Amino acid sequence: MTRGKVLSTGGETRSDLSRQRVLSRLGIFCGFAAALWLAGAEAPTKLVTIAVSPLVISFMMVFGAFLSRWSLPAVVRGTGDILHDVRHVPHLVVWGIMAGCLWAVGNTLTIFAVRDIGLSLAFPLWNSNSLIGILWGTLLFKELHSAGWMRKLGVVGGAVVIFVGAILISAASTSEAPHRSAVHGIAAALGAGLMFGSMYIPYRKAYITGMNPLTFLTFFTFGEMTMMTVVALVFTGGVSPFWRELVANRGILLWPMLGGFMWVVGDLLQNYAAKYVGISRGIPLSNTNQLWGLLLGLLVFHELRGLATGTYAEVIGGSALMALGALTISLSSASEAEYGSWRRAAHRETELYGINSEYVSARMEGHDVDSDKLRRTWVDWLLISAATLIFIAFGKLAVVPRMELQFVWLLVFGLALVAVLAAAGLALWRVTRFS
Amino acid sequence: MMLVAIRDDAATPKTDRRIPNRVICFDLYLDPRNDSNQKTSIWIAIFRDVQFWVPLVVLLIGLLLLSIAR
Repeated sequence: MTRGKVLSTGGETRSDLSRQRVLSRLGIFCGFAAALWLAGAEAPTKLVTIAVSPLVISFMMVFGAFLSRWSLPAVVRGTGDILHDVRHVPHLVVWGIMAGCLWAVGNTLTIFAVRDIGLSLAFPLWNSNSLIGILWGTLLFKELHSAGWMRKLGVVGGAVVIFVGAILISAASTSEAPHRSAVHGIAAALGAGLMFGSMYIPYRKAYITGMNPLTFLTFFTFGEMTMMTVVALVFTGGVSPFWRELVANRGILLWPMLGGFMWVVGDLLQNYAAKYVGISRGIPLSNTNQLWGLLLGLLVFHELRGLATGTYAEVIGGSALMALGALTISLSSASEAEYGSWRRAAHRETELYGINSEYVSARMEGHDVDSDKLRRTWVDWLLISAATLIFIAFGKLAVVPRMELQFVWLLVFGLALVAVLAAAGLALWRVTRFS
Repeated sequence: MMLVAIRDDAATPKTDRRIPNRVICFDLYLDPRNDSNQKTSIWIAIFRDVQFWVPLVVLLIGLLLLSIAR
């Protein structure tokens, strides 16, 4: 690794700096790609037009995510790689499961927040998660330490601008639900923001040590599925009532499952962004999914028709602010001094958990240390086949709802998703071998 | 595994009178070659890590909020 490097000032080498710049650009692109896929995950759930318990939708989305989180890594690198990766950093399994639990609790809190105060008020409150992510990134992982004032201002200011843009868009694009209990609803929405923002502590913990996002998300899904099952059973009154709800709504179960699949792809890209540009930058970028979700609703589902001019002004203003915030963050890449802070944070991990420092440093720089040992086995093909068959089985039960869709725009959006995924996949393979 | 090690500090310079020549140390020593000790030391490190306690406390707050919101 050290062969052929040219020393520059400050102990860094030019090849190190050039590699960091490449990884930073890759992370920023993954952040934007994640936003598009996370917005796309909303599309299948929009097909659920009948009144279904939010717990059923949430559970099926998590079930779809669970299937995808085991089969996608099997497709990309094989499950052998996951087990091999875990042997280097076994302690991170705990954080993976904890992050999944945080997500499941946060997601359920959003359901109650929407029920109590409406989406327009609840969404901006839980969208504060990126600001909480910046706080934890700075306090616990030395992100933005040693960065110049302009860069700090770019990241924090950009996140605040995205937050304000989100408030404007959600105020314009959603109607108020009847207020059942404002205090409970606000507490639930803020709690969801706290859960989602704190979920990035395990994310960053894993990636500062160099763990592969595919490995981390595989264990994440255990916490997510277990916690979601417990929450669904407790809130619906036990196994039998919950099963009856699932059977009664079998015609729509495929749509949230597909949403879960798309959410996994978006989350995977978000995790690569968190790995290569940190949570302070990666999370606000992927939070621009609201902008894409708005476009999807406007163009494909013909939402927001016949509104007042002032409302359209709010939508355009909010969108412009979100785009401006994302641009500011993407231009505030980490300096060499900040990378030094990241390395000190990584060094703490190697000291505390006795991890091989060469593994940490190679993985942090996106180098693949085990690519020659990886092979797919029959277990991988079994997982892929089982997941595909389960999706097909739910597809047989599915009923396509009658609704007005703009198929041309749907095709454009679908092509954009595929193109962005292909570009991100190619770039990740070329630069990091999906490390 | 608890070990009692007897350290012979005969090599300690005589000028430093604060350190006796023969010291008996009682210490918790975990042999890293033993699998079960490796697991124990990982758990000790996890419990010493503030980055474990912060999300755990947040998760407990979330569960509390969930029971209230319900």
